[in-house]
Amino acid sequence: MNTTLKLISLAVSSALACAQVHADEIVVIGNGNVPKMDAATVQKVYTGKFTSVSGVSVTPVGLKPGTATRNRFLQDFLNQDEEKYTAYWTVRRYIGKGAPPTELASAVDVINYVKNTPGALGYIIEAELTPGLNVIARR
Amino acid sequence: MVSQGRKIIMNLYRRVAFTATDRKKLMAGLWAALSAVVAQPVQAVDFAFSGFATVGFAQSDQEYNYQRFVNKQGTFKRDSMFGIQMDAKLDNEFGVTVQGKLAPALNNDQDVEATITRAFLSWRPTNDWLVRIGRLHAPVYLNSEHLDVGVTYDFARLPAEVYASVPSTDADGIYVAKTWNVDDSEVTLNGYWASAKMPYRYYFRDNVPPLLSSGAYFVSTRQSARGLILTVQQDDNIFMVGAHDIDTKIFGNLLMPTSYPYVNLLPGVGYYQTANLLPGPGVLSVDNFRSQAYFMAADMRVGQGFRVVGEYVRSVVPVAAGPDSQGGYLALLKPIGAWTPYVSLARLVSMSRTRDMYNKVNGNTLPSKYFGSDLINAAQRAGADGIIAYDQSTWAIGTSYRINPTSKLKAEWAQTRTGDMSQFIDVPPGGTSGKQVINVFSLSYNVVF
Repeated sequence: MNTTLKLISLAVSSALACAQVHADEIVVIGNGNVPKMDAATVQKVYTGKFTSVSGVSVTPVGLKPGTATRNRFLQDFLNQDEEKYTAYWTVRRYIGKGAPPTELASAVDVINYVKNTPGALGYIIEAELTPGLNVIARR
Repeated sequence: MVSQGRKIIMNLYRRVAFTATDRKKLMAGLWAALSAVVAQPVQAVDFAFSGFATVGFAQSDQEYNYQRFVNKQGTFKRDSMFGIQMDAKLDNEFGVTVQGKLAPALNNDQDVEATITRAFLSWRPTNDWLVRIGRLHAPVYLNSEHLDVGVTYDFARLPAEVYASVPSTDADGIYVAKTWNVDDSEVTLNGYWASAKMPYRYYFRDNVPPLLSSGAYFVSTRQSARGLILTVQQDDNIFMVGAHDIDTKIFGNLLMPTSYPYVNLLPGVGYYQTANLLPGPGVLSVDNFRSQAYFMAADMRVGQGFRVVGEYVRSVVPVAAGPDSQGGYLALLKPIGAWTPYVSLARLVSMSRTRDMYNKVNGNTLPSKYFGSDLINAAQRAGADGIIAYDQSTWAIGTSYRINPTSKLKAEWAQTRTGDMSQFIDVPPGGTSGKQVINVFSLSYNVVF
C-alpha cells in the first residue's frame, strides 16, 4: 500500500513537472489563415526573408526588447540573442530591406492582434494560450 | 579575366541600355507608383521611423588636411553625421523608404548639407525577388549600403583605400535582387542600373595666376553605372564578388587630361604643357569616359573567436589621369564581450601609367633662368594635382565598445605612409604628398534610435 502511494505520488509530481515545463514553452500562434510551419520557416519570417508562407502573406509581430518571452523566442527559434537580432535588423533596415516586426507590449496584445489580423503571427508562452488560438509552431 | 568580365558587362549594357525615352518611362512609372502610395488610406499604411547618428572626432599630427578635414587641430567634420529614415509598409509586397542625412557637403568643404539619401519604392512579389526603384546606395562594398550607420560595423572608419578609391554614392535607378537558398547558404544576385551626380575633388597646392588659386576645386560629374553583385552568406560568413560598368560625364571647365605634351625648349630642357594658356601643341582632355570596377570581399569566422575581413577593388579607367587603381585591406577582429579590437592593413596604389604621368609632371622643373619659369613650374605642379593618383598604405589598430545593442563607442589609431603621392592629402604650397607619414587618432560615438 505504502509503495503504491509512493508510485502515485511520483507519477502525479512528474505530470505536474511536465505540465510546468510545457507551460513555459514558447509557442507561435497565427491567425486562422496562417499555415503550420517548422522552426526554420519561423526564423525566415522573423528575419524578413519570407514574407509569405505557402501562398499566405504573413505579418510577424513580437514583444518589446528585454521581455523574457522575447529572449526565449529569439534563443529557441532564431538561435540569436537580443544583441545579434537587433544588429541584424539595424543592417537590414538601413540597406533598404524593410523594418523589423512590430513590437507589442504584452501577450494579450499579441493574441488580440493575431486573432484580428489575417496573416499575422506572434509568440507567447504556452500558459498564455487561450481557447481557439491557432498554434502554428512550438519547440 | 578582367577583359572578359568587361566584355560581359558591356554586352549586358548594350542589351539593356536605357535611352532617354526609357528613363522618362522609368520616372513616369516611379511617379505613378508613388502617387498610388500617396493615395493609400493612411490607416492602411504601417509606418516605422528610425534614425542614426555619429559624433566622430579625428586628429592627425600634420598641419595639412588629410581626407578633406583631418589635421593637427582636429575635426568633427570627417565622420559626424545625422540621419532619419521612414519605412512605410503598404502591404506585404510594396513599401516605401525615405531617408534624409545631415553631413558635410560633397561639393564643397565648408557647408553641412541636408540631402535625401534614400527615396525608393520596393516591390517584393515573392520571397526570392526584391525590386527597388528610386534612390539607393549601390551595393558596391561589404558595408557600402549602410556605411553611414556606424553601429553596423566595428571599424572606427572604413578604410579609405577601398571605400574612397571608387566612391559609391546614392544613385537613382532600379535595383533587383534574387535570392536562392542552397543548403545552409543564402545566395543573392543583385543587379542595378543607376545614375548619380558625384563631384570629383581636386586640391591645387599652388596659386597659378591667372589660371587658378590654391585650394579645393569640385568638378561636377554625372556617373551612370550598371553592376552585378553576387553574395553568398553561410552562417556568419559572407563572400562577395561584383562587377560594375560606369559612364562618367564631366561638367565645367576642369576636364580630365589624357596626356600633357612635353614642350622641348633645348635638349634636355622643357616643360609639360598642363594648360592651354601655356605655349605648346595643346592639352588633350576628355569630358567623358567609361570605366569598370571589379570587386571581391570576404568576412569570415576563422576559429578561436577571430574574424577576418578583406575587400579588394580594381578600378579600370582608360584615362591616365583618372582613378585607374587597385586597393584593398585585410583586417583581423576578435570580439571579447562588449569589446571588438581589430588591426587592419590597407593599400591603395594607382596603376603605373598614372603614377609615371604624375611623377614626370610633378618632378619636372624648368630652370629659373627661363622667362616665366615660376608660372610654368607652378602650372606643372597644378597639372600633377589634376591627376587622381594614389600610392599609400595604412596600418590601423582600434576597437569598438558596445554600450548596448543600439550604440557603440569606437577608437582607432592609424598610420598612413605615402609612396610617391596621395590625392587624399591637401598638399601645402610648394610641398609634396609623397613620402609622408600621417598618424590619425579617431574617436566616435555611434547610435541608432
